[in-house]
Amino acid sequence: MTYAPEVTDWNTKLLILMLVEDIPIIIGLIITLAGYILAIRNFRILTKEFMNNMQISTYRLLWYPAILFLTFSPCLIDNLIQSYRDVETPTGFEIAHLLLTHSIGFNNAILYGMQRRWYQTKQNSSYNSTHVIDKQNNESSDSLMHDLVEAGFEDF
Amino acid sequence: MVWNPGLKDGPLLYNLNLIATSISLICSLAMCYLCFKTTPKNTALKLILAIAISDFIYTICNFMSAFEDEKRDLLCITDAIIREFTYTQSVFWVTCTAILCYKASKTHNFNQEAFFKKAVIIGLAISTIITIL
Repeated sequence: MTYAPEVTDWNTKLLILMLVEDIPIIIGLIITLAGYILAIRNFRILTKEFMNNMQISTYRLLWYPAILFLTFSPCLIDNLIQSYRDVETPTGFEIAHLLLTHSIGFNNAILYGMQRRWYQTKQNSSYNSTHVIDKQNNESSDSLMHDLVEAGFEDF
Repeated sequence: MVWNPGLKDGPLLYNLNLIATSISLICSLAMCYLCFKTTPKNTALKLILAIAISDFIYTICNFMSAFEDEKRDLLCITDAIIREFTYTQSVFWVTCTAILCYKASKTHNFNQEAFFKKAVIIGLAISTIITIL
């Protein structure tokens, strides 16, 4: 199956576009959103004081699916409009498509590149600052933080 | 191609594409440099590097498409194949980052190296299948 110009049956065209371009994005978006929501839920075992000491803001995690949605939603909608209706997409929409989807490198660089602590490793990370945790924090908080630091996710 | 110069707003879209793509190229290059420079590399860093490389190649495809015309079939086909592959890869690595974050927040002693190796194999397989389709 290709984007052959001779495909004029709109249902077939829609199916091809959905299969090749849209479905991977939709699946990726759902998994990303679910992953970060579940991660935020796991963070709830940490106490408020611990979160303040570590300067952790769990809701910053939602930026990741949000940027993914912002980057690919114009492309998704553009594909659907073009395949359902045999008309040109409005210019404003095409501009949004170009500026958002083609700026994927910029968007990801802002999102992932600015997370400086992601680049730190256990050796030079702020893992030692976990010792400022209030003694009332339980063992699971400490081991969760250890896992996150190991993975490079201590900046949340 | 949305910025077809024959269309009413073709030149505007063409220029916007070049601007967005240039910014994107610089940013993805900077991200690659930052990732390569940092040692030792943890799993999150490797995932970010994978995202940056995918974005960089996707951006090059956007540049390539600006120089295509109806006669350059080979360039167009090459562009389409690489574009589809890197586009899928980019979404895949972002998804992997979310999965890693969740797994790291849930499981104690989570084997990140094994996760990354599996992700590379699955990612290449998925992208190749979608590109062939």
